[in-house]
Amino acid sequence: MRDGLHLMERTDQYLRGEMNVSDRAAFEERMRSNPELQQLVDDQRVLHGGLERLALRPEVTKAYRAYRAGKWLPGIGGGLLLVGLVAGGAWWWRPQPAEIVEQPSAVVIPTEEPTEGSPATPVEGAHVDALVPKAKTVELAGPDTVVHTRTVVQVITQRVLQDGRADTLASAPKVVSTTAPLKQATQSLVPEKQVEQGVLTFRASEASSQPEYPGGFSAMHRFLQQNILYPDTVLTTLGLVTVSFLVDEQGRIREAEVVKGLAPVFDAEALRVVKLMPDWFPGRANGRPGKARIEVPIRFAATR
Amino acid sequence: MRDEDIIEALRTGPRDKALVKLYAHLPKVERMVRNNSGTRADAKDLFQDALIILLGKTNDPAFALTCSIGTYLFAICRNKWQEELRRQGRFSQELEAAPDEPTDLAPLLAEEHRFGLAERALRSLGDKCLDVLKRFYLLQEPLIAIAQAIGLAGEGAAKTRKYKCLEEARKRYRELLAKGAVAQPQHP
Repeated sequence: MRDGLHLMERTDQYLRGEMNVSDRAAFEERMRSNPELQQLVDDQRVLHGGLERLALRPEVTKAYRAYRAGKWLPGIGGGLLLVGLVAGGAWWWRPQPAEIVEQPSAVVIPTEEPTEGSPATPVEGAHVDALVPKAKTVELAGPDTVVHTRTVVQVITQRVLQDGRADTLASAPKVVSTTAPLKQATQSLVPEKQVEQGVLTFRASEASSQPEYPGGFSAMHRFLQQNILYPDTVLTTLGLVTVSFLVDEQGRIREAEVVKGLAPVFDAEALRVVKLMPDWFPGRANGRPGKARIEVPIRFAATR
Repeated sequence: MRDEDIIEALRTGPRDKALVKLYAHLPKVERMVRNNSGTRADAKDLFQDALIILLGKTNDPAFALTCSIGTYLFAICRNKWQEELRRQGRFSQELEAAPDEPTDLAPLLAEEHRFGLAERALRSLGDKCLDVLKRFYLLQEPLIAIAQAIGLAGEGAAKTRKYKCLEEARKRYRELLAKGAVAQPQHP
């Protein structure tokens, strides 16, 4: 059994592309002269394919049930589909609030003037609801140069009534995100009041936008597809590599890193291709280009 | 939802809604199968296999469709059903193919047939073995983590368990292959 076990392990390594060049060559040489080994390798590859099929089957069966149920309720089915797509869009995009401050030990009160919620243009006889989300971001650079951020969102709803008057409804400011060490930083560096004064307005209007790959999401996908060289492994692998990177003010890609990996060969390839991407259109906040963090999941699963 | 959108959803997820959408192509396969001595259940099995093949293919970065998704799925089902009829000795006439059906499906289907047998062999192993194999090969968990998760003494024990399970699966797969078995046990 020891021999069998050892051979199986070597085969796993071979299929996963974990052998170095000379081991690999030796293994392949051995395979050429040994039909039994060749069959073992092929069987193991096929069993891996079978395992993947097995894992995919529940997904396919579940979709069948949803299809049978949805046949009688086409309206609801359509609605669900839409929600699914929207969620999918939001999933890979995770904005990083505001800018990163580099000087240590400084309380940074952004100089941006708080923008007044500009009233929506009244349309003749129309009833308009305009949502103007506002986010206040305060950045504190702690003594350890780590930047802590806190984002406060206040939603201001402006309703232009039919007679042209506008009334405004503001929700209470709500802290939507605070990085953990903020509390200590606040206590040691600035009184709470001062934090509230440091206001950077971030408005979701044409002045603010997410960074975008030139040509959009599909174009990015085509680019990744065309440039990914499937790692030199005979294995059929199934899984996601999620790469996170920063799009800076110039649209350059920086600080790319694998946040959720597969095997080292796949991670390295995903990272390589992401770094190869052309410059993006930078994201904008308050009409100014800003940094933003993007996550792109790359799915690997190929059969050779 | 256009074909490209569906492929994109299959690639990046969430895939469930796109999969449901793809079942719109099932009725056509049902008609083909039922007009040729099959049942609705046969059609469903064929179609689900085709979906799994498509899922595998969309994950291949080099994959590009040369026809519509509907044609592709139908072509896989048609070829497989033709094969099944031939196997049963009931083959009478060539099932009608769509004009733009891809012509290079044979190697893919031969490979998929073997994956299907492997799937059947693995399924017959039981949950304990499947769990170990899934953890090791699909989730790529380290052996030591697998040992902890399923309550084995250590890395060595997990390694042995994995070896025995895979070896048994291989034995059963070889048997099925020798028998010339069908990938999907047919419905009674």
